Amino acid sequence: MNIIISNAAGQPIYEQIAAQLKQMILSGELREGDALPSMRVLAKELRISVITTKRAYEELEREGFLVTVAGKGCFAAGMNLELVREEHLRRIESFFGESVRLAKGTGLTRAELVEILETVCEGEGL
Amino acid sequence: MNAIEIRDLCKDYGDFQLDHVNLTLPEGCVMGFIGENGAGKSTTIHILLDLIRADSGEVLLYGEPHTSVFPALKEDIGVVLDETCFPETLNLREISSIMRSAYKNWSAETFFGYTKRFRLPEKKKVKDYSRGMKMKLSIAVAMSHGARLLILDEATSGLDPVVRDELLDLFFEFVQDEKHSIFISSHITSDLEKICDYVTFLHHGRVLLSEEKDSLCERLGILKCTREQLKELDNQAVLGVRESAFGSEALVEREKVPAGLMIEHASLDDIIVFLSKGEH
Amino acid sequence: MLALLKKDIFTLKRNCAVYVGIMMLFYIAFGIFNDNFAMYHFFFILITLMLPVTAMSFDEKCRWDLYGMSMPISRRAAVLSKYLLTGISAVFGIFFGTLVMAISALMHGEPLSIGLLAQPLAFALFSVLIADFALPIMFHFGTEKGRLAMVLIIWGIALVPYAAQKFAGIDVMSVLEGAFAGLGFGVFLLMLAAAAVVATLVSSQLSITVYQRKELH
Repeated sequence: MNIIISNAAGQPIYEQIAAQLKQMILSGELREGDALPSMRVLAKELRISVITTKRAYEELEREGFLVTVAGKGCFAAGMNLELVREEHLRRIESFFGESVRLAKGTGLTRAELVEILETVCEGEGL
Repeated sequence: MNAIEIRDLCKDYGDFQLDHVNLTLPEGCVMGFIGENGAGKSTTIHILLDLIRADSGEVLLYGEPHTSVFPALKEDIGVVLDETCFPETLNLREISSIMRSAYKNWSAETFFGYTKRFRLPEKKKVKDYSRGMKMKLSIAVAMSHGARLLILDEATSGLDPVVRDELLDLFFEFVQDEKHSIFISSHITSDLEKICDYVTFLHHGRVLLSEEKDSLCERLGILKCTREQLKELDNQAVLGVRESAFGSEALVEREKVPAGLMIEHASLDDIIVFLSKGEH
Repeated sequence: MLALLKKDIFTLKRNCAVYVGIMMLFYIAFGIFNDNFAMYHFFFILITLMLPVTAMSFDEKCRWDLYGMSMPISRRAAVLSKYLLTGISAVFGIFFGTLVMAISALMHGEPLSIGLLAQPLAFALFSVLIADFALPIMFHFGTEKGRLAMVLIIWGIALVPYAAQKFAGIDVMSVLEGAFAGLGFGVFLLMLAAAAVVATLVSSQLSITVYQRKELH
C-alpha cells in the first residue's frame, strides 16, 4: 500500500491520507475486512503526528469506510454503492468549490466559468 | 490521563521570570516545547524534575504533585539534558553498572543494543566521545530503564541532520507504545515539526500558545501581500509582520483573512519568528 | 546510593590510583626507615579528606548534580553517599595503616599487639572529624570554598600550638599530654571516637538539610 503525502499542497495532511485510503477502498485495492495499518505505525512510517492519522481514521470511520474492532485495529468496511455515489458527489462538489474560488480570485464571471465547464464536458464526452 | 500538567508556574529570577506557564501533555503523545534561547525552557524542565523549586504554581505528573511522587517516579522518567553530565573517565560498561544500581528496571541488554546500534565504542571513555556520540549515549541510557516518559532538553542541538534523523526514528519507535510520552524542548523546530502532536511556545517566560500542532498549522498561515492590503486586514487577524522593500509578509489567522488572498503554509519556525516579532 | 558510590569509585579509581599508590609506597618506605609512621598516617588523613572532595569537584566539573538528581535517588541518599565514601576510605586507612605498622613491627622483631591499631585509628577518626566540618560547607558553597575551608582548618590546627607557643609561651602539646596522661591513650581514643560519631551525625544532618534546599542549575 502506498500513501504519499505532501507538505506543500494546500490540503491538510489528514485529508490527504483519508482521501488516498478512501480511493483504495473504493477502487477495491483494499477489500472488505483488510486490516489498515495502526494509527501509530502509520504515523511513524509517514513521520507525522499520531493525532493526524487518528483524525484521518476518524473521518473514514465517520463516513463508513472503515470499522474499528476494539483490541484488534481498523479494517476496511464493505463497499456500499450508495456510499460510493455519495462520496463521488461530494468530491465533485468540492472540486467545483475550488474552481469557483479560483474563478473569483481571477475575476471570472459565472457565465465565463460555465462556458469553461461546457467546453470540458464536450471534451470528455459528458 | 495526563503525563504532565503544569499550572500557573511562576519563578522569578529578577531579570527573568517564568510567568504563569500552563501546559498539558496527554499520555501517549509528544509535545514540542519551543522557543528561542533563554526563553525559560530549561528552567521549566528543571522545575519539572524538582531540581529547582517554583515560586508558585503546580506540576502534576500522571495526576500527582511531582514532589509527592519523586524520587520513585523517576524510575519511569528518562531524562536527557542539554549537557552530557557523565564523568569523563567512565566507559560504557561502568555506566551500565552504575545505572543498574540506580534503576530497578535497568536493562543492560537494551542499553548495549542501543550502543551497538549507535556504533558507540565500548572501550573508549566518555571524554573521547564527540558531542553527537555523547548525546546518543545519554539517549541510550534514558531509554534503557523502562521509562514511559522521556524528557529531553535540547537533546538535538549541535547534532548534524543525519544523527537528528536517526534520533527521530528512535522517538517514533518509543511512542509506538501508547502509554509512552515524550516532552522535548528544542529550538530546532524542523525536527519537532514531524513528530510532535502538541506544541507549546515559550517566549520570554510566557506561553504564547499551547495546542495541537495540526490545528495550529491549519489555523495560521503566511500571507504575502502589499503593504496596502495588509493595512486593510482586521487587526485580530495579523499576529506578526515582516516588511520588505517590495511588500509584506504576515502571520495570519486564515479564517479572519478574506478569501482570495494567497496564504501559504506556516512552519513552526515561521510561527516562532513572526510571533516573536509581533510581540515587539 | 550504591549507584553514586559506584560512580565515585569508578571515577576516582582512574584518577587517583597511580598517584596514591606511589605516595603510599613513598611514605611506607619513609616510615619503615625512620620507624615513624606519623607522616604516613597524616598522608592517609589527606586522602580520606580528598576523596569526597575530589569526587564532588568532578561532579561540579561535569555538572553531574543536575543529572544525578534526575535519577530516582533522594537528595538524602546523595549526601550520605559522600559520607559513606569518607567512611570507606577511613576504614581503608585504618586497615592499611595497621598492616604497614604490623609489617614494620615484624621486620624489627617487635611483637604484634592491638596497640598497633591505635595510631591509625586516631588519625582516621581525626580525619573524619575534619571531613565532618568541611562537607556541609562543600554542599552549600561548592568544592572550591570547601577545599579552602579544609586548608584553613588544617592550618589553624597547626598554627594554634605555634601561636600559643610564640605569644603565650604555652606548649599546647604538653598541656594536652598532661590532660590526657592520667586517662591513657585508650580513653583518648574513645573520646575521639565518640566525638567523631556525634560530629558525623550532626554534619550529615546539616548537609542533608543544605542539599535539600539547594537549587541545582
